[in-house]
Amino acid sequence: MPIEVRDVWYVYPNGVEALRGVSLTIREGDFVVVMGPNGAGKTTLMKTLNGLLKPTRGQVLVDGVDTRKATVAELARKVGLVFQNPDHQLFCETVEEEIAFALKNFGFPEEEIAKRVEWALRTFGLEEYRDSSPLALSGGEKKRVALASVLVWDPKYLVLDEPTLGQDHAQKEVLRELISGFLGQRAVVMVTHDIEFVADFRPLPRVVLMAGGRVIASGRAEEVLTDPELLARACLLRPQVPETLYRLREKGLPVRTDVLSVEEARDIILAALGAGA
Amino acid sequence: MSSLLEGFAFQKKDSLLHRLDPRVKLAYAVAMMVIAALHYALLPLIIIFLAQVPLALLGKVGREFARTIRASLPLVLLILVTNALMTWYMGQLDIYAVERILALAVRFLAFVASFSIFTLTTSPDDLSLALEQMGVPYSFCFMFRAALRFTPVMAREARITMDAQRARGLELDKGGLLARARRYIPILVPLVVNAVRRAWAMAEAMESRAWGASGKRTSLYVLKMRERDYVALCVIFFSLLMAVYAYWRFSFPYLLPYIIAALGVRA
Repeated sequence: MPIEVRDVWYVYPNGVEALRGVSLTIREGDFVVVMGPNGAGKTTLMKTLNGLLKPTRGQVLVDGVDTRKATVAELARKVGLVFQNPDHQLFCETVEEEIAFALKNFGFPEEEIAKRVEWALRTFGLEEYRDSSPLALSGGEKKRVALASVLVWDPKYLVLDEPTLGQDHAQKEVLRELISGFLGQRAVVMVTHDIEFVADFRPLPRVVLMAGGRVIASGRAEEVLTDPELLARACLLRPQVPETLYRLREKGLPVRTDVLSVEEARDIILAALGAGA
Repeated sequence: MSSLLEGFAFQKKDSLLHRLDPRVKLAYAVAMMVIAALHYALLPLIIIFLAQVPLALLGKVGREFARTIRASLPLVLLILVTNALMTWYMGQLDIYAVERILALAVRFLAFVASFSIFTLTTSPDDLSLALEQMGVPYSFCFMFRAALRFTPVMAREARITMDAQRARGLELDKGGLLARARRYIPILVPLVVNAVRRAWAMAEAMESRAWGASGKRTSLYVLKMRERDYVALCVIFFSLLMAVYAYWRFSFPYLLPYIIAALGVRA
């Protein structure tokens, strides 16, 4: 059973139309990246997935359940949403308690909580901070605590709102490895502006481009993220690999430009040079 | 409660009241409160309240004014009920006591009215400027303005945090009163922590821009009393004088016995 977003409109109380007829299907095990300029409606869309926002028009079905007919707590059990800024949610005295918070809300039994918290501390490399205050951690560690505090209840759909915001390169690599590890087992939906972060994922995700509250493109990352016209409409810069290929082609080298992988690009360039020589 | 607070929020419009010197408007609000506090009979208090309605219309904030009054009605009811219960408990809830209690409620409305007209037509910047030029230390004025400025920011953050915790399975409206109050801890802690962090960041940013470098500050805008301000001030002073004279000279009769008698005749 998938998450189905059917022609969803969302109008904020102040009259801003954040979503204007968005349709999207997220199946089990999918990896979907949502990109687009600020104000495109990405975060609003994410909040409709677990029922924090109920569509003004249209409907969102989570495994067949209309989000209008279920509480956020019921939906959150299946759809784990990690917010942009960990500072908006961390409040416990220790990292351990912070990770256990949701499990207590969902009424997990004590030993199950202990087991899962252990797993989360290990998986997210937080064992040494078990008794530290989550408020005193570094930016990257806070991000991992926030992520752990959601993944610990094993939601079927994981929704990440800008996970790389304010993270250095090393932290991004840690995040990529963690997220990659969950791919396939559960659906991952990720909002980001970080196009290179997306381009380096293997397998590559499906990319949904949004602008002005609408979906303007949806397809394989190799197609969407190398299309100059689409990228311009979504206020994104072409990733460096296709940009390099594009400029080589401008100089007369016969190469394809719909490539995101460095290795593949190298082979294509070598082949083109060999053919030319 | 939120609509009551909204009723005090500054409305940017162009009217005679908006153009008046903020110090004059402050004098008006204070004078009205003094008058309302002085009088205790129902009749003058009703007059004090009603006399402010045309002012709200003059300031083009009639609708906001009406909303503030409407929003303060639950508090009026609270005043009526608690006072009535107390008086009844003491054993003398007669028609005169009822009138005295009604007068209390109307006095409260008169307070709300004058304060509301003042804040609806005076921008926070003007108010802070007025305080500054009345000799209040600048750091206090700044604190006041910053508090107003950051209220909407805090409200926004509270909403985000509420969403983030609900996404982690927190159910805010479940259980008894105490349990419910305890559920607000996950929202209050991040809110307070972020507010303190932001205050530090702001202090550092302001010090980087040489805040407080010179003891004597000058203002780009200087408040200057114009003719109309002096006229308004005279009117306010005259009203205050009249009200004090009336308080000292007349004793106002109870209204309710007359009203009941009139109704009784008709019935």
